[in-house]
Amino acid sequence: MEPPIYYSRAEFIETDTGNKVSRRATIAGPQNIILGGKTIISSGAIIRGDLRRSGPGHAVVISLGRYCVVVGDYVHIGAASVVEAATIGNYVEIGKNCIIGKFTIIKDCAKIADNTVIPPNTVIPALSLFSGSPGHFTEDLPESTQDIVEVQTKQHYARFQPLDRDLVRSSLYYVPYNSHLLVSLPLPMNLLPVNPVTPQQCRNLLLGAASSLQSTL
Amino acid sequence: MVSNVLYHCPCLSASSVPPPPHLESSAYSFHPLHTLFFCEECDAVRCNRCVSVEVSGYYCPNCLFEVPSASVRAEKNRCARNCFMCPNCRNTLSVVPSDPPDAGDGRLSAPISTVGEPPFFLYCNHCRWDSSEVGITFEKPTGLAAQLQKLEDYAPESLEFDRLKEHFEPILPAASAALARDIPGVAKYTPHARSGRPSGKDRSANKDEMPEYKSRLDINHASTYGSGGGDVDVELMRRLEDVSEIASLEQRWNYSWSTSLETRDLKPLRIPLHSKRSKRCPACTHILIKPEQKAQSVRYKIKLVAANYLPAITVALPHQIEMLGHISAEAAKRSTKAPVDDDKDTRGGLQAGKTYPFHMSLTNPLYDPIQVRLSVQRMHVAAAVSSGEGGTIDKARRPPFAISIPTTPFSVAPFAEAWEYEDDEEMFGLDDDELEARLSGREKEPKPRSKTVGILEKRANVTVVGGEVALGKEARGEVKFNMLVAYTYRSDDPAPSEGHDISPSKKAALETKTFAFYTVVDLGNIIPKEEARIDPYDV
Repeated sequence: MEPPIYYSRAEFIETDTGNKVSRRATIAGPQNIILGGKTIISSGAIIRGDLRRSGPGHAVVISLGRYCVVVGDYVHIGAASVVEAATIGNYVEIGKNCIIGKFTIIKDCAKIADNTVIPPNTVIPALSLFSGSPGHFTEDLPESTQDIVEVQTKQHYARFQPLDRDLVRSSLYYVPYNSHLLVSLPLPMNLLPVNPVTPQQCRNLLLGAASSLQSTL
Repeated sequence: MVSNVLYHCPCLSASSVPPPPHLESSAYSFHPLHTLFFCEECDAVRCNRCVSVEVSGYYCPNCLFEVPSASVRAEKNRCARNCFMCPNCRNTLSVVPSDPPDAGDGRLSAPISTVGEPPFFLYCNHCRWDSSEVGITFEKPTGLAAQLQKLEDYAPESLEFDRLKEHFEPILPAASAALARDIPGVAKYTPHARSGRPSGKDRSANKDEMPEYKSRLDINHASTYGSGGGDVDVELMRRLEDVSEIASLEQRWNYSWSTSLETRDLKPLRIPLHSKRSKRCPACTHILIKPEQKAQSVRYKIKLVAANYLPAITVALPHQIEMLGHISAEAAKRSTKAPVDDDKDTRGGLQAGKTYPFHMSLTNPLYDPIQVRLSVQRMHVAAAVSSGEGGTIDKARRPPFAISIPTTPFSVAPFAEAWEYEDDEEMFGLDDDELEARLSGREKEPKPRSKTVGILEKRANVTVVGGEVALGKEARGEVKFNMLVAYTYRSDDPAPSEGHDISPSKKAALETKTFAFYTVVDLGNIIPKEEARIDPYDV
């Protein structure tokens, strides 16, 4: 019953496993990223696979999808959110304009409301809703959260159609417009952004840091 | 989406008929389907308001340690490990070591140990509060709560609390016996059964016979401890330069009456524990929800949710869907980066004086086909008549719209796992012959006449029916109506009391069951005429 979300076929690359990746998304260090299938990465998204632990060898930094290391299955990350979590469980919903601090652990079926700032080192237990700045536990989610999120994410993938109406199948992930999925490394204390006051301020800080990093790379 | 469907739980009222949806109070008896439970024994819907809740386990929301219920009481429902909350902003505090001593040559010396340099203190990553501000430091970074224990035990409020406990100890068994009698499930947690005291005698010790309690400290002198008004506080306020120097009510809420008003005196808080709860039916005390023991598991040993029993209903206005689709398509064509704006419902809104079709899709969660019959509750008329004496104001409150929905029963095909993975319509038709014959027979009829009211689409376990809403010229407010949904299904397993060897004739009688429930359908707000003319230019 939900309206379809159309995209232009020229903009997105579709893989055999159903991943849809926008050509406008910025993907750094792709050799360190695994997509599990049926993942949507929208235009404007920045995914940083290059922010890996220093040292020799190959390391998977970000893995989206079924074979999860970092981000679990059925995860939806809202637009313009900056995510630097250490782990994100399955069936997690992150709203729009959120800042998820470094080393945050998000357990299964947790939900983070729009415009939430989660400070670093926070633990978000399973089946809980967090909101506010700094993010606090707000309420327990219903027992059927897992089923709801599964249906919603699948629906979202199904709604995300090319303009010439191809038959598309069910969905897993969605990293939308203008969001920044960063998986962080241990940074020294003095590099932490100074006291995030508003999501916007914090975002600007991180965007600045990201662009300066990009220019040096 | 603006339009939604909520389900009625009759828990709070004696009658099974829900209140009219235009009353403010009706919101309390309608819930989203996924928050409801279903009791198989009572054959009834239960909601979070009416189920009885039992704690099945405690855990700390920060370290996720499962706390045995024996130590929960001893630790006053808070985490007894390393978890502390910032008194300023309620964020989790982290333990940080002090800076290593400056060697004097301008270079940082190598850390002495991997954990860092003592003293350790608690630090808030969000507001930069740290516990050395209030003189709390630690020798080692583990077992912080134990290190703070002494400080806590000799705080005036905990001494007072211990005294209170001591004072009420003699009458506690009677009180807990009464509590256990009135509230099911409490008995499990009260230790009075072990004390073996005859409770009959204790019951006579009612409130009047209670000895008078004398507090450890005189409340009048509380101001010496920083609160309770008095000259100390007046003096403090006089010298105040910044409002944030005074702790807000929220910051002081978790402390006793004898805390200081000043922000700089706030102490770190041990994190309150969370609980996992199991839920029981209030009528028959059968378990509806029983979580797994593991704190972070999202599985349930028992989970009787209404979504597995009642058909899921979603409602949509096709003209809105179409419009949203257009917006999205145009955005894709132009390849603009901007996503669809949120203020989209103004253009697809309901305008007074017009007629709109709407679609309701019913999804069958059962493994058996169901026959569904919908009817709109004729509540508004009655409500309007009864309040008709009110005069002109009440006239405006009369339902300004008319709803027409198909009243003949229709079928919804059973749920089958395979359909989850098949998007093709080809799958449809592989069902058992009898049902198929019935479906196609009914479907042939409405298809040629492309009407809006009736069955529109059938696929897998979903049936979409169309309805129509005609809005009055003077209509305003919300389009909301109560709808009775009755569905008939074949129940495979006979009631357990009947035994297994029943005669075929008896079985046939058992085979169909009907369940009815109320829903409220909200189609969104009506845009009054004058506004509707302006709106399109606004967007």
